[in-house]
Amino acid sequence: MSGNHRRVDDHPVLGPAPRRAEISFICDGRWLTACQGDVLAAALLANGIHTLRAGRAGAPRGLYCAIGHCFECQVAVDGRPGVRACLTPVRDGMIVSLAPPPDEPGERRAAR
Amino acid sequence: MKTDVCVIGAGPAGLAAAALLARYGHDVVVVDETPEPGGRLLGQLHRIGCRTDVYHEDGWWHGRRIAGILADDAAAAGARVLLASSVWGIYPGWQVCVSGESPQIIDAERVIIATGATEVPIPIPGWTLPGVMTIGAAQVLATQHRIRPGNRGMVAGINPLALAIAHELHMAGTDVAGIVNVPPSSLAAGEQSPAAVIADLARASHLAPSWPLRVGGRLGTRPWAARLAARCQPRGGVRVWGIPIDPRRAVAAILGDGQVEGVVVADLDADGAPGARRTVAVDAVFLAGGLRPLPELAMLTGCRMIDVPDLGGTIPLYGRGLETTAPGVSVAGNVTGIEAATVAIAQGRLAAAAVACPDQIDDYRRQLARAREEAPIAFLPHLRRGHRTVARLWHGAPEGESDLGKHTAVVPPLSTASDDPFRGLPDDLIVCRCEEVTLGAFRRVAHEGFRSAEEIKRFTRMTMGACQGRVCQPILERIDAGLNGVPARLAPVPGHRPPVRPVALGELAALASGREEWERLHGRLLPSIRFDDSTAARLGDPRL
Repeated sequence: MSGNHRRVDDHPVLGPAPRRAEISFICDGRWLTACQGDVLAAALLANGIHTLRAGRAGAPRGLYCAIGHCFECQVAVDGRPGVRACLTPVRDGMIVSLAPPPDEPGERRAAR
Repeated sequence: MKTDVCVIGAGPAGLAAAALLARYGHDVVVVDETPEPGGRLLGQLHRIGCRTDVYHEDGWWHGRRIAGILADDAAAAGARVLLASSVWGIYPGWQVCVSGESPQIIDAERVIIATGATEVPIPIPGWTLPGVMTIGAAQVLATQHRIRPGNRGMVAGINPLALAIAHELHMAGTDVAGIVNVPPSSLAAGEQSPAAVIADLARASHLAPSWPLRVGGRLGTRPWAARLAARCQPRGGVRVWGIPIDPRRAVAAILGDGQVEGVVVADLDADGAPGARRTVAVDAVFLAGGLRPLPELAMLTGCRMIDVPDLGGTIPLYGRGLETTAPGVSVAGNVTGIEAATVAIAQGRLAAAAVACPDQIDDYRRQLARAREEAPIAFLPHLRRGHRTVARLWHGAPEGESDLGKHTAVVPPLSTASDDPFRGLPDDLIVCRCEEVTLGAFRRVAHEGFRSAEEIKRFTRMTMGACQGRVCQPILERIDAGLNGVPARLAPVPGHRPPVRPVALGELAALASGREEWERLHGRLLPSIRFDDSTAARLGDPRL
């Protein structure tokens, strides 16, 4: 399995990781693998992807709270924007787009 | 959907409440936005001595196993658990508005709010880089998802939670380069002098196999001894599980191009003043600012909220059976104050018993008291005093400084740079991650004379982004307090209004009318929802 070097395959207390089916999903045009039951943020990190979206000025952002509070990990899934990667289980064949910087009305930018 | 009781949050408190209510024949629906029941239990793994009981196996507290037991109990008793569903509003009646796979309004006679806690942020330069996360996020990744959150990481913030999770990271194979302090700035919650940190660690010293920490911990309960311990600590701090813990160093900034590559660590003297700096190479930073109760959904019910720093912040006022001042609304778990999961379970049962079997409430109160006595970790030092404050206010103590929004300081605008309570922090420091509000924006609005949290919020949009203040509210309070020269806890807390989660217009449209059209377009069959004029009227509520 490529790029899953961050997985804790053997844990000193929890033991070996339970065997799970390997599934595939597409992220920004690339096929990646995940384990059945992974949430998207974990699967992306296992594939070495830290940056999940860009801020208004293009600054990279990644996972921050991992429990759905902060909305930092919003990505688009199967064309639906604003999906929290930390709460969304990966499905086989899922199409993920990491979010580009949002368009922002000029006056709001000026006010900042 | 119609139900007797809607429990919000499928953590230890919510699941325990649901199981007991369902066993007494109540129709119960538990709603949670995560895909798996258990809440924060799912990431917990720690060893407390050699205790073995229903919750401990060979001394290990394995949260996921306990979550499984609680979820099975609730399901076996007949409670329904609605996962991947976010509550975005609560209206009197009670109408619980849910988005997610099956957008709907749950009509409930009663609501039990068990939404737990959220982490207090530490805004330091570089904290928005990918690879910087809360210590709780690191726990979720390492133990729940079994993904190493970093190969080498630094923990910023020394408290019992940080120590417990650092051990989990160590077990998952992340090299923890150190557990160090937060810098002495007025914006970092949990900022503490080395002496204060040593006193704090007294509450976690049983977790530590290393004798200097245990001795330091015991000493630390006396202020003079804590100061002495802060001075006499070995250079480089003490080590626990091989991890150096050093209250005399702090993460001053996080460095990296595109993601974390290192941290700048500054030496602190015993009183917390910064000195020499050096750079440490890491690929992850874990911010341990501590926990605070997450009060937003309780606030939506209109129940009386109070500020109790001993319990971690703003909480709903509650009575003997955890009922609030809003009729039919109860609370349980960390939304009432930061305590151990075993306490949350006992609170869930108490809140349920007060509804299902009020004649037995004293038994359940005794069980709660026992859970508190036997709690493995005390996250806050003055819990008992906090509980007494709540009881006093519930029994009719006059409104005082514990009520929110009492300070109306009138102070002239900042005039000189030396008046700036956040001097040393750069203008481009982001203080609101969603709306990307910078500290410089505050300095500008403060200079124009806008100084209260409400004014700052309106002018900068801080706390008004997707997180609705769950992350940045404590920073706003600190900025308000800093600008007005009052303690952070006296700063007024802006309220919450629905929706507290982003909701797609399509979901609202589907609830109010045109459901058939929505399903024709999206092919998604919504569950059966009762549509009538009152539903439409509710959705026409101007607060939406």
